[in-house]
Amino acid sequence: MNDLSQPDVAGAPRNVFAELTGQQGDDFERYLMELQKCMRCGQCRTNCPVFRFDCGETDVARGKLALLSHYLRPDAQPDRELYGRLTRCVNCGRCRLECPSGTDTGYALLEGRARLLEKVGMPPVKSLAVRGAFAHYGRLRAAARAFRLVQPLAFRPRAADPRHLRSVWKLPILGQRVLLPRLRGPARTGVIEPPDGREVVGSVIIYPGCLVDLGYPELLEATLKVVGALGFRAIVPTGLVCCGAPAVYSGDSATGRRLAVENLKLLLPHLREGADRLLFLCPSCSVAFKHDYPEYLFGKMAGSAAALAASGLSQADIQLVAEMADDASRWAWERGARECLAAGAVDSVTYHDPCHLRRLMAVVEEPRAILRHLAGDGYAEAPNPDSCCGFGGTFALEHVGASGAMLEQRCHELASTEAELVATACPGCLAWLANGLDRIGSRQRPVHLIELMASAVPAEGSANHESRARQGAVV
Amino acid sequence: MPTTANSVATATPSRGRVTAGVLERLRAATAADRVLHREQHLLTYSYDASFLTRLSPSLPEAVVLPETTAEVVNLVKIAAASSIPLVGRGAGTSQTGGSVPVAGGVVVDFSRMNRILEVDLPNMQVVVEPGVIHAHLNRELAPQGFYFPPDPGSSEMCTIGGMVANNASGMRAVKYGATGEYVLGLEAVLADGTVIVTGGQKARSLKCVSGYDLTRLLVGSEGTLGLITRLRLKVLPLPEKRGVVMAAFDKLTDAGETVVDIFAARLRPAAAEIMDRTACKAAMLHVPGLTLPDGEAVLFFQVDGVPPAVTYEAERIAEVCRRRASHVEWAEDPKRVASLWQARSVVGAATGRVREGATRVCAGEDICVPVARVPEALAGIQEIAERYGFPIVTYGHIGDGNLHSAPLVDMRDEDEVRRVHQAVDEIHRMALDMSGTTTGEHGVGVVRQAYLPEEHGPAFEVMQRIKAVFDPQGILNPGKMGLQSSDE
Repeated sequence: MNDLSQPDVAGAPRNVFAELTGQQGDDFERYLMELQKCMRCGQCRTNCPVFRFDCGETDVARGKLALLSHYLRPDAQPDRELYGRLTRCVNCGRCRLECPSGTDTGYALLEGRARLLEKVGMPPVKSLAVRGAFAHYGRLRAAARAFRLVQPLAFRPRAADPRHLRSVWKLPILGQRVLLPRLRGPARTGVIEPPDGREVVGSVIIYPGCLVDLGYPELLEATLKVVGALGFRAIVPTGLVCCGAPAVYSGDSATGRRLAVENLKLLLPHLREGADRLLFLCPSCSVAFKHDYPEYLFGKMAGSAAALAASGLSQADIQLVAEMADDASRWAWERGARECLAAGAVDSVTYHDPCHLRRLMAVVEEPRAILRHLAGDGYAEAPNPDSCCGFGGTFALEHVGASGAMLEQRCHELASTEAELVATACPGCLAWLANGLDRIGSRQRPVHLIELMASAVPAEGSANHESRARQGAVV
Repeated sequence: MPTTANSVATATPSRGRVTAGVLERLRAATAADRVLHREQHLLTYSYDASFLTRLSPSLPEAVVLPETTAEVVNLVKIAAASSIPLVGRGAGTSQTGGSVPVAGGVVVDFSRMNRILEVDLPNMQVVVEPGVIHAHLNRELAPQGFYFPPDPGSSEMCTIGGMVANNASGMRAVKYGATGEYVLGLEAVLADGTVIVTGGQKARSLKCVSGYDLTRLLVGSEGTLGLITRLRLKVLPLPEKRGVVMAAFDKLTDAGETVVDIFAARLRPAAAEIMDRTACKAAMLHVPGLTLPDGEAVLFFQVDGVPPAVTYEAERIAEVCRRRASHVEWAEDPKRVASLWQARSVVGAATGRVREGATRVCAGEDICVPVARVPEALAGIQEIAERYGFPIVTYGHIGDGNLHSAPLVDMRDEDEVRRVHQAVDEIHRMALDMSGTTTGEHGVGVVRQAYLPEEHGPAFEVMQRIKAVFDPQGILNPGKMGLQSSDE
């Protein structure tokens, strides 16, 4: 009967963990232990936003971790197909937060992608975007500037939502007509004082992020208005680069680390000078600063200690920035924005939770409180607040079918509220929801929460604030 | 002769393979994007939660995700024509290898058949597809004041189809019984593609003794007799109130005797749960700030019903506990109930915390012994753990004698992995020696099939004959439950 102890079902059993332990140093051992933790219970199937549509096991963390475990074998041949499966993920963090066995799927999946990338390389088109453009922010800006010239030729405003332009033709890859924000950036930089006559109670740094910088500069303006109304001086530093999320989620941790160091070096002097907070309009950027930078620079995925030493940053510096990182709307609400926002400024609105804001930044109640203040009974909660819009950065371009299905489902849920406006708190969700609402033929208009807040700031404040703004000042 | 995983895998020489032609036919029968055959897809259908299949995964040759009964019929006919094995799968949360294609063939993944088809509350029943997640059904029913009583710990991930195929249960089985008690009828596709509906083709009745009880035969058959495609389930009114009693005991034996006393006092808790010292430690490590009274065991009772009855019953249970317990607490305020119940509800997830760098493995995890012998079984498991030199965290349903023991293993240690297999065999043997069974609610699958002949004697041969009637080719989930011997 003891033959049970030597199961031999499909070839010889292989315990790859025992085979490989102790061979490749601490980083590898840590990775091995994390992969081992997954007990294959299947909890991650239930709430994975990607799995929900095709129901294929490779879409959930359990399946991906099983694949990574399998491809640990020295004789296994990983390929681009595997890389593609591993990036079929919106990095929403739900599998990690809900994992019964405590597996840090965020770390294990990103580390897995990074190790895989070293072996198979990034697909050329993706590499062009992630490494060619996002990794060199100047190039991204130049490309956006060039695109601005041709955008009016190929894109037309959408009647229900004029700031988004719809492409005249179906675009390759996506196979759809696509809505993009009318490119207008770059957003301004400088030190912006609060409106006249207001006592300056402190200062905040604002990190606009690429989408705000190039596509939605008005979101920065809205933030400045709210920040100013609260009596804060805003600092928008010149020379900020991409937060690194596209690189990090693609498995390119080296690029992620380089961008992190560039941003941190630029921001640290301001924080040391006593800025109150570092505010974000894009939750993915805030997650990068708050969670990813510490992880990449001195945590589980730090690589060699030498890299941190060479950067000239200390662990305490990185920690300081992480502690200061906050969502702009949440911060403003905590700072008493209720007092300076007119109640009833909005008629009817629903809210879409950005995955990174809801789960990784744990900002759930504040946006709703703000909207209830602004719209009163006109605020309508949409069904399934945990749903993802399907954007996920490069996910939307790489996995068009899944992303589109997620988007349409979410937009139907939002449309079911019959609210006039769909508020969200992420420029990525904003752009993607604009596409989805258009595709399902909804008249709803997507807006960023901070814009609604700014619209409720009494008028004279904003006039003064405009006059006092020191446009373009270099800091 | 006991059938082993090894001999089954190489059985039935006439078994067909999934050729390009078969794949083409499967695509025609369903849809191109619902037939998976790339190796990377297949790898993720090669395991379930069992320790055995983590070590020894078995790849299917293809995976099909049907959306209708008609599609299932077609794919069964295609497989039957070429003697290709068919393995039904819900969420793959089995801990037995039950949903793993140990003999290759086609996995039939019911994940996309996940609709609640009908909610017929005046007649206290619902009709669902097999891929519905258990918790989703209850979330749908709760606002209407009803529920489906079986409550597996894996409620958030397991499918109703899987629960029925394995006759799963959970904590409330003490009062409400296992899943099978709530299955009124099943639609199943048999090995030749015939569709049957059990419990009366058009019946809406809550009882039926007309003919052999084929419903009960399919419940717990682990996909070896047919593929379940639709389920008619009985639901009950949701109890108005719940209360919890927690009691700590210095001695394991006192905990066991208390449970016996409670039934003797004519009390009937909905759930009676036990956590041993290792399990309490795990829960406290998992939830910062949670403190549990020190002792060899902690008991948790749940009572439910109309409010005055809940208060009365909880008070009486607390009274009986006080005879032997070092600490007793009871609550009916929902917040306090939740905080008392917290330790029990997190323990399954928390077990791994007891040992850094180790993983919880599912092996020997489901023995069921006579209620009065639970303390003896718990002591026995601890003795085995000490002898083999790795921790085993144990918690379970003391009200029906069902224990979940979780070995915490560092898979990087090959020798330890070997010792786990031996320890698990001892746990199973101990259960049989104590007039118990090797599995109370998880099932047999691959991992426990060797024990069946001994557990059932001549009755096991009848099971084999039933299997032959339903599935003469042996294509339905082969290699499970010891049903096909190696010389077949």
